[in-house]
Amino acid sequence: MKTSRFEVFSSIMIALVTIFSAITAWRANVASSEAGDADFDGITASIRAQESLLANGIEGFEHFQAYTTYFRYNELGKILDNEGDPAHEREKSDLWGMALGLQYSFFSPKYLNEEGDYDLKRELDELWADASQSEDLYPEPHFEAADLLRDKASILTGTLILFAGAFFLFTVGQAVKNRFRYLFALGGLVVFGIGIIAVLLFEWSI
Amino acid sequence: MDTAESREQRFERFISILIALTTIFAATAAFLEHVSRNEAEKADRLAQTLSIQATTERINGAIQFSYDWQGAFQTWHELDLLVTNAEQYGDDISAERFRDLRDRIGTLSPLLQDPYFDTQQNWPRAGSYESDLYLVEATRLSEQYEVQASLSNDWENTANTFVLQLTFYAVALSLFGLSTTITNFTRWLFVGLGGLFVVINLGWGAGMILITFDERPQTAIDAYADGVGLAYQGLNEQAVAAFTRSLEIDPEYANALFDRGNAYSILAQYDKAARDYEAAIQAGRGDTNVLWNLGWTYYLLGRFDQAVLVNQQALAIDPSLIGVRMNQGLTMLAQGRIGNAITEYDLALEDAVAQVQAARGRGEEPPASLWFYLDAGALDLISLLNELDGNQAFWEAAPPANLLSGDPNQIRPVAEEQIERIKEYTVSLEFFGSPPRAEGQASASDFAFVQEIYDQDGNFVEYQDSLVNPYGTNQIGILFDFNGIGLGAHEVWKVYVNGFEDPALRVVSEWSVGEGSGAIKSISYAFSKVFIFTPGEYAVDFYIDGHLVQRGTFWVEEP
Repeated sequence: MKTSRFEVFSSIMIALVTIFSAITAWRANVASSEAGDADFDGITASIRAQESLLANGIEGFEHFQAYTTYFRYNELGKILDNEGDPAHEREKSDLWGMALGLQYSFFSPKYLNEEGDYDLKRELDELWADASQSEDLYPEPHFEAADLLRDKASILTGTLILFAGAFFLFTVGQAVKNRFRYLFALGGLVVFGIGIIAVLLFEWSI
Repeated sequence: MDTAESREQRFERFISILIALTTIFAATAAFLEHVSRNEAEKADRLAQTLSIQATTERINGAIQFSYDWQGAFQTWHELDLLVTNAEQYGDDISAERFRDLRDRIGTLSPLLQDPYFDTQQNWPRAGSYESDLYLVEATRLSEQYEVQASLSNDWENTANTFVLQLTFYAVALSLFGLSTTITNFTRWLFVGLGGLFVVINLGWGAGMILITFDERPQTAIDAYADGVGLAYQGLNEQAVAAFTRSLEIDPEYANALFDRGNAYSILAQYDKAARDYEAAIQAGRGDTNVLWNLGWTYYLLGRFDQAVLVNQQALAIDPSLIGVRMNQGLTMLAQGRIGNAITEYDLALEDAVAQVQAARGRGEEPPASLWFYLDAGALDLISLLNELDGNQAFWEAAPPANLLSGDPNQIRPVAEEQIERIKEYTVSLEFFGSPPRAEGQASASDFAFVQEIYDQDGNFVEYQDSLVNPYGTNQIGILFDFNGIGLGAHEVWKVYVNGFEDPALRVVSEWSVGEGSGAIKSISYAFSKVFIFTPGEYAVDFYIDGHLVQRGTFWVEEP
């Protein structure tokens, strides 16, 4: 039995659809895998950020604890000074001496503002800024990238339905022996074309 | 002409179309599987992030609170004690100086300022502060995590279902393909079976698309988290209102049902508490915490059969729950099942011994909760006895005496015996790591609580009986005779203030009083001018070498 040109054309198109479907499935799988990697990076950044927050909190409040003791000595010295009793001169000197000692050893005096208050917020902000210079502490960009890649993978998988549709139309075209087969073949070509455009569009844009 | 060859060609064309059509369905199932998997991964990622954030929120809050309490408030409190001490000595200048310094320290932490500081009590409202600082937010994040974890699970199951469908489509395709290799009627069997797979898959897939997952509304979570914060502050009526708001939005919210049950229980509304615990179990929280609380609530309601059943369920999950085992013994005692009750107490104490010895064998310590549950077991028995005698204290809880199905005359001696056993096991295990040794020889007369009376020159005159003491008392003597206590014996004194031990008043030492005379033990804050006994009931236990030798009670009146 002689094979018609139309049947050869249909067979070639079915083969092409199959090849494109396989390539699309591969690209979808790659995108999905990249999304997983981006998620992992995001979670890692999230853990680092929380670690940093905890470590900074501990350090900041340790310093603030030392400042509390400093404040106690310093203020008691001021109260004695205000009382103006010369009998307290030695005690006052001791208190201020201890306050000064704490200032150099247990917290940084640069965080004392003009009123003598401890600027804990500034210290915590600076610690965070330091940490973010050496480590990736921002998960959101990774998560956004992961979402985009997931959308891409979903769309690519969705185009497989178009390719299956094209496959169906070419198959029907082959099965039908009247002139409608050209209509089916044309439909198959159009759907296949849309599928290819969709794949290329999303492959390049994301 | 309809030849066999043309029939065969028609059949093959039909199968080709069927295969192509099935391919479309399979591609659609693959797409839906992919979408479901994506949703599962997104929810899982969010769940992980929320879990990390909740942990950080809790730890960071605890770090800050640690500073507020141990740093700022401790300093404030030390200075406040110095103010009191200076005032007691009439040193107004020092008092004023410390007061000024104390007030300056008050500027260092929000805990020491309005609205978190109670200026009437001179004490911070720590629960309120912790709730606002981290507890409510950490709870909210934890609950959101649970929602997302559950959602991820749902999507994962959906994706797996689509994978199963893809497998069935593959089977259908292979059946269609195989049908072309057969020429007789059997091929239609293959086609029919393949078609059946496809039709079932299509119906199943359509059903899957229509399924929606119940995602707990954020408003329900917010109300629940508020309730947790309020309950933490001891504001149980407001907590009930918050949990109720949450349950109005999501009636199947198991955590809200459990926590509302707890709040009702504290408010002594045991019927409502039991209903909430039952509903929490129905909603999926069948863990030992819920079962434990439900069993206890049934006991308090006098629903002993149900209590026994629920306790059994909890013990089936975790047989090492000494608290539940004690509750089981207590419930059976209330039922009058004396033999079973004693068996349960035996098992509880054996478990306690095993836990202590296992921990110490590893060079570790048993959990602190063990001592709490042993103490609570004794307290519950005391509460039952007091209920039988009609003089239950406000800190005690027991079912109404008229609901007890056991004979009080049988219950009393067994309860007394078990109280003594539990107390002796507690002390022996804590100090010697083993059960009480053979019955000791030590004995002591009933305690006489006394005040020492001195004359104007400071010379001792006499002891004055002082069972009930006025407000402001800071010292009391316990006078007693004793026998069979050798020098160097291990001596422990425990003082229970309104049912709960005050560890600050515990005395552990070696016996140093020779035979042939009475002894006096002083319980005192008199070494300082700052503290007095708070009003209430003071139950004193005296142990020698792990054996409970004597118990007695004195009281301090309200101002």
